Amino acid sequence: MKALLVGGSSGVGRALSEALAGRGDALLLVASDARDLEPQASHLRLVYGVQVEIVAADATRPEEFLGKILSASRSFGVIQGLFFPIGASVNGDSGTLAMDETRQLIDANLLSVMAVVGHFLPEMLAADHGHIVGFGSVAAVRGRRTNVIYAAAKRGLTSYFESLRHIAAQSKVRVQLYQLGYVATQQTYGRKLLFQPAHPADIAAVVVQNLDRDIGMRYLPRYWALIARLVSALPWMIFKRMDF
Amino acid sequence: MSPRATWPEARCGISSFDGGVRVHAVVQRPDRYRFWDDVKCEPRIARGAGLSYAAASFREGGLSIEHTSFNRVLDFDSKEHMVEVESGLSLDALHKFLISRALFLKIQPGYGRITIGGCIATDAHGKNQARDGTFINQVAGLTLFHPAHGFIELDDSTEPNLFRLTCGGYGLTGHIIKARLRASPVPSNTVEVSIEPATDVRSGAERLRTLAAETDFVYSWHDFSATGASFGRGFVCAARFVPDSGPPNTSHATGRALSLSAASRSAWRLPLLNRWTARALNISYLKKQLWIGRRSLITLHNALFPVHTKQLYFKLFGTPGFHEFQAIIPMGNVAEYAEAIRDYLIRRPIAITLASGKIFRGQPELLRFTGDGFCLALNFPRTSESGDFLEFLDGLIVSVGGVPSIIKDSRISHSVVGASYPEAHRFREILRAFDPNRLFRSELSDRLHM
Repeated sequence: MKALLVGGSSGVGRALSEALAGRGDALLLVASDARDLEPQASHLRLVYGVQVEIVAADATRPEEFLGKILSASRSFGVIQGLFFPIGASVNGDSGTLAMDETRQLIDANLLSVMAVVGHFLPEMLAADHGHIVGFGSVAAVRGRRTNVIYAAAKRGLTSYFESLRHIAAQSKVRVQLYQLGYVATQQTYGRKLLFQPAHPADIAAVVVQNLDRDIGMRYLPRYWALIARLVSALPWMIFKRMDF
Repeated sequence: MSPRATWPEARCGISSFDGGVRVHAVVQRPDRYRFWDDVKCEPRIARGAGLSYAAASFREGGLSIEHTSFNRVLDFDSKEHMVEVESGLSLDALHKFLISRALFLKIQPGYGRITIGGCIATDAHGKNQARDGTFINQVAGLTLFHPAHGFIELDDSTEPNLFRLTCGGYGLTGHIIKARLRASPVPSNTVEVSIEPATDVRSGAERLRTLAAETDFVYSWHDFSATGASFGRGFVCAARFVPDSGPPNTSHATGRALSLSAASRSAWRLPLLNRWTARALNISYLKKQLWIGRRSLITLHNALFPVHTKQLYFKLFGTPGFHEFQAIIPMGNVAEYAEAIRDYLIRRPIAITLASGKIFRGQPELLRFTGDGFCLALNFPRTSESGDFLEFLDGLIVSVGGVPSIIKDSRISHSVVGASYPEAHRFREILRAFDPNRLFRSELSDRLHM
């Protein structure tokens, strides 16, 4: 498979790039900083012997972002897999972010994904084959007073992937969305959390294992499905008093 | 904006692998190169896997920057056998990469989770130091980062002083970002091990000296829990590559399968090693090795990483931990050294759980652990009596003109290092000339007044 991996230089994306390269997949890695992409690409080429190309592009500028990806994809070849382990959050996202920061969060978490999928989806549907894998967050289960814009963007992503799955339902294009709980990345490092964060390599292993399955949406680690249900079901009288 | 503000940090308890130093420190674990863009000139120290016996990668209240996310293979030259890696790459991961190309690192310590940066910073030795030297011998060059100097490319010809200060410099010159390493062809995947009995330490050391020139891996083991004439009895283990034993075996445990860390080592509250259990352990181990006999075959991976099958041993010391006293003793003084230890143990018994020797060769330079002689490592539990024994060993090693290891002993003092490392003062001078503000600091560097 030739796959486009957005956010492939750290966290779950980096682990996923290893897991896909380990299967022999060719990768077009996209991230904001070429200094992180180059060593990752070199590593994957040397260790797994796969084709790896890189695109340094800023997801907070969706038009430019898409343009760079399209330019690189012409020489890379026909893309059969789209993976979006991308997420951007900022401190102070508590309902009072300025317009530019709000737009950046929505662009990075939602619009850039829509822009890329929007371009490649017709080709995949025409070929009647492909994988589109998105990554949401448990932060979007229920709106709360922190990560306001981030959660809204991720909730939008959930709706978008529901629609994509519906669009692709009559084809062999697989659309999957993983709602991630705590994962051991920079976002959780050093924080005291209620649950042990999952290792990115374990998340990546599950994603690769499920690639050909029509699973729709899934929480990872799996126990977050239960937590999400409980949080959704909490009466407002209780939920409004919670500070998390 | 400073990385302290923008990069997450963990405030946590850290301990040295031997359990001797326990502090609270701040740890950052960056995974992107932009981390280095705007690093503030504030005291810090680099940290690898955190497996050093001494507290070389942290200090009380200090900032440690963990390099384990920078763990990639960057370049490989199949003709020159040269591999470039990020410093957080583990030995096990690098071995996996190299062995599939019929190459390996001749010089590497025996546990696969140790990082390349850690091996460079401690100038680790391998299985035949007398023949192969120390880790610096296979470092073709490295990239160092210091907040006041930026990125610096170092090798033995362009920046020889700083290069030699960094290899075996305990992380005090800066962050080792990348390294270019010379790999060696693997003669075969199988190693033939032969065991010879040794009646005492001196005869074991003499036999090692002969075998070091002829074999690929060589060490001796001695029973220091035995009494009377049996004290120091043991065996000499020598191993050679077996030619034509088939293609390299690439199926071996990966880094994730290895669980030993300073925290997991000390997980068991109660120590299970004492005079009686150590005695039983030593007797049964010696019998087993001699029973296995003169000739057996093992894989190269098992020969390179013997600790992988002995992780339990370190856990037996429990939460209090253990001591290692490793020192190079001039060959002429080996008998005197062993007898002095025997006499001490008769008067004040200590549970010596391990006494193992190697032959070392090399010229003393800076704070690198090298020299000519017999290198003997002793392990014993951390108890109320062990402090006195260590003081005795400190005096003994200075009196016989030996060199104690800095990285294997979390409490060795400034005065002992000053008395046994002739270039300790030069190390300090060069380091201060390069970094007058002494930005890179650890408990080890504070203790040694570096």
